[in-house]
Amino acid sequence: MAKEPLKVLTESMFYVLLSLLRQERCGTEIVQFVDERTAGRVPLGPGTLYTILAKFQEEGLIRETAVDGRKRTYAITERGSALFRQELSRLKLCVADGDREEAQT
Amino acid sequence: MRQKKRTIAPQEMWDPAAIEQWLEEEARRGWRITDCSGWFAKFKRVEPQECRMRVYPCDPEAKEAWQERIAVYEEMGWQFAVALGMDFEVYYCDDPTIPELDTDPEVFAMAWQEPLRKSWRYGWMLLAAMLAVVLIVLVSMLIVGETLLEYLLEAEFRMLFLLLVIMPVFTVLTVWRLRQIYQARKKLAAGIRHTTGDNWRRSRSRWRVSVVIVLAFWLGAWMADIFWMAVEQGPDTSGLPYVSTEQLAEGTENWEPDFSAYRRQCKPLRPVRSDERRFAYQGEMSVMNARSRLRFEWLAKALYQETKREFLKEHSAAEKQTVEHTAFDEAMLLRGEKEQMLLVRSGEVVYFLQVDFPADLLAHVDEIAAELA
Repeated sequence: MAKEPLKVLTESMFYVLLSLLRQERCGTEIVQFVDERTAGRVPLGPGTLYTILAKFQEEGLIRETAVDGRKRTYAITERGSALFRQELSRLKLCVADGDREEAQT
Repeated sequence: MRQKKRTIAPQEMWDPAAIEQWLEEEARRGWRITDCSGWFAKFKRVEPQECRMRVYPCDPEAKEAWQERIAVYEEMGWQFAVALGMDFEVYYCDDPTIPELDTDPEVFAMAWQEPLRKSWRYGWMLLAAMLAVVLIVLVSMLIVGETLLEYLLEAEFRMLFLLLVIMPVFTVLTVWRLRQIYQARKKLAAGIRHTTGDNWRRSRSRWRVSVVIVLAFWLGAWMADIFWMAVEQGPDTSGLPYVSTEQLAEGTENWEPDFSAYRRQCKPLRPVRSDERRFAYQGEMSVMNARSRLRFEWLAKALYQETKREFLKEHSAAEKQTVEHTAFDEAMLLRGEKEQMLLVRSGEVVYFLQVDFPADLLAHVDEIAAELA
């Protein structure tokens, strides 16, 4: 996996972190959450999902919490929450800038 | 109808598009990959169908974690097909409505970063290894004081094949691969998927060429061993000239052979070499007959020129006299203060007669020509 730390989250990464914000979830649940929340706008392939999960674990943004049979669940860490909030603020600023610009046209 | 088949496994893992194309075409023909360990890939017969095949890098993980991951992949419509070595897995999906295995170009680039880095490192290591072989050859030539021509003429089959076939082919292939990997890394960093634009058949042909060359190397080396064992008794010197010491001067019949200069060899580029030196008076007077039959005429020309150059290097004031004869392609008498050399080339044969006492070497030209004719 890549060794460079994450600076900006992609949409898939953002939604994976979002899915873990309030509760622990396993891989299938994460995919379902993202699909429901975005109404299918953000597809999440299994390759992408597990690359993100591995990268997030490597960066300490999430951690594995339980293994129930073959099912593994993941929870967000303090660091993950902080990165999520930072990304959310960045996106809000982007949206605000866009809105302002659009209002003037 | 065959139910299983086996073929050479893909090795260029940095070009997954070519591997995916190949596996998709096999699936259309009714073959699905079942094993890919070592040099061969195994296929089983299935219903011919359109399906997507994807190669994806994987990290080492516990068996349970792997099983959980594969179960999720299956729930999402992607079946595990086979592992390609330790670092890659192949998945397939028969349903065209199922989303792609990877849906985020940046995450895809992240997944491929390390495998590409590994391929990049491996490519440079291979180039460095080849450079090391060239350096070893050059250093050994310097130590022994040999020229490149001498080295090639004395080289065994293995070394010749390594230097003249394997190294050039692998150097070109490795440089090409490094260029492709460099482009792939640059494109992935920009969020673009890389493909060589090559047909998968060309990609596999390149790999086949590499495999065939390596196999030819081992087979050739093995055959060469058997062949040289058969000719170990010495080269066939019939049809090559020889002027004995007795013909050159009286009272020389008991001159001793110089075993340090005695050579009777068979080499791939010089199938016949027979050097013989006889001397007397503690080496103050000697006669050298050196006969070589080379594999190619251009090598004989090069050896002729080099022999002349070597003599002139030691005897810079030597007098040169061209010898004309229909049996010779080129011939020259080189006369130094004491030493004289009659150097002759006829086709692939190079012969020289060298003495270090007064003697009329030109008197033997017809005799030498008669042997060569």
